Amino acid sequence: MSRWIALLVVMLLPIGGFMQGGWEEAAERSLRMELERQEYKGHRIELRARGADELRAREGEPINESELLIDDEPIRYGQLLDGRYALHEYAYDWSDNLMDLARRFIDYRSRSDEIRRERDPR
Amino acid sequence: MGLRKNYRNLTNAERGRFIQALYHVKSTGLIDQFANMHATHFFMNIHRSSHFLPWHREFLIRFERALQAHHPDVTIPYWNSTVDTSPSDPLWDNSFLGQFNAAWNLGRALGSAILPTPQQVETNQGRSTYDAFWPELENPIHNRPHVWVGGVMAGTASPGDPVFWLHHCWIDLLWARWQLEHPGAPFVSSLAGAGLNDPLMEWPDRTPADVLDHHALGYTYDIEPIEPPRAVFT
Repeated sequence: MSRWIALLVVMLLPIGGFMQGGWEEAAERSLRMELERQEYKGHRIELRARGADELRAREGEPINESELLIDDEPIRYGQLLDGRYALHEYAYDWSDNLMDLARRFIDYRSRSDEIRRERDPR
Repeated sequence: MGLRKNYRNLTNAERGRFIQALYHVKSTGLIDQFANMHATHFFMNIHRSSHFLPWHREFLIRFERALQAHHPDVTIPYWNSTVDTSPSDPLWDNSFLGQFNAAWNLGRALGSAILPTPQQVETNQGRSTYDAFWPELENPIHNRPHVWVGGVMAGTASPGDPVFWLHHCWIDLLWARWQLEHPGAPFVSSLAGAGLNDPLMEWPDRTPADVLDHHALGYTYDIEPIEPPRAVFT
């Protein structure tokens, strides 16, 4: 009998471990969705989940569930019919990944600023 | 029948009339209204949709009619961005579109991206079905010049920059050319609400079926035969 109990414990241990890992992963994923932060070429990109209170207070406004910020400045974005993201100020480069799009926007801004400086060096 | 020409082939009088008409529609607030309309619908059924081409065709014809209210002979010229690829091209002269950058605070940064190539356009023209044709025409061929110009032209309110109209006139020309080369190719809907007889955003009484034949809308392009063959559109 004790052999059978021991066997059962051995069989259940990995399942318990997996479940524990799964919960941890889920919690981590949830945290990642609440706040994703990245440094890119000297700029700080943040993707922050809006709280339920803010969403309720701003009901009817065309706002996203997550707020995108670059160097603490909110960046307006939307989703096209196919689910890809575009930024209001940088609307013709589309991506499935908002953080990736933010990085491309930073590159675009830097390139544009350089072109304008070259054109008008004053 | 209005003739839409490459901006390089405009006479001095035509260039002058076009510029004056642009200042006129800016002064009446119409340019900003068109820009707001485009920004409002940007994420809806006017991009990434089979309505992309018909919606912008209707948008252009409405803008052209507004210009014609200032002078009846004005038509929108086009910019072929696979040929005019340099910031030093006459398109950007201060006597033409260059003057609007400072005057209307457009924040252009010409050269901010790469432009589409003639090869990409020809490959796209060879697509045999509408659902293979329009997505590629939209991106990259249509998208890249928006980013290349930069500033207002790169944002959702891009019609605020006059070059928007010349760029979209070229995109419309490419659609017209494809239609003439593929007579009978049916309109293929990309999703529910984006069919041939579904209303266009903003204009519930207009559908793609109403704009398939650009000659019926009263204009032709300078690349077409003088007596254009009557194509059968379905």
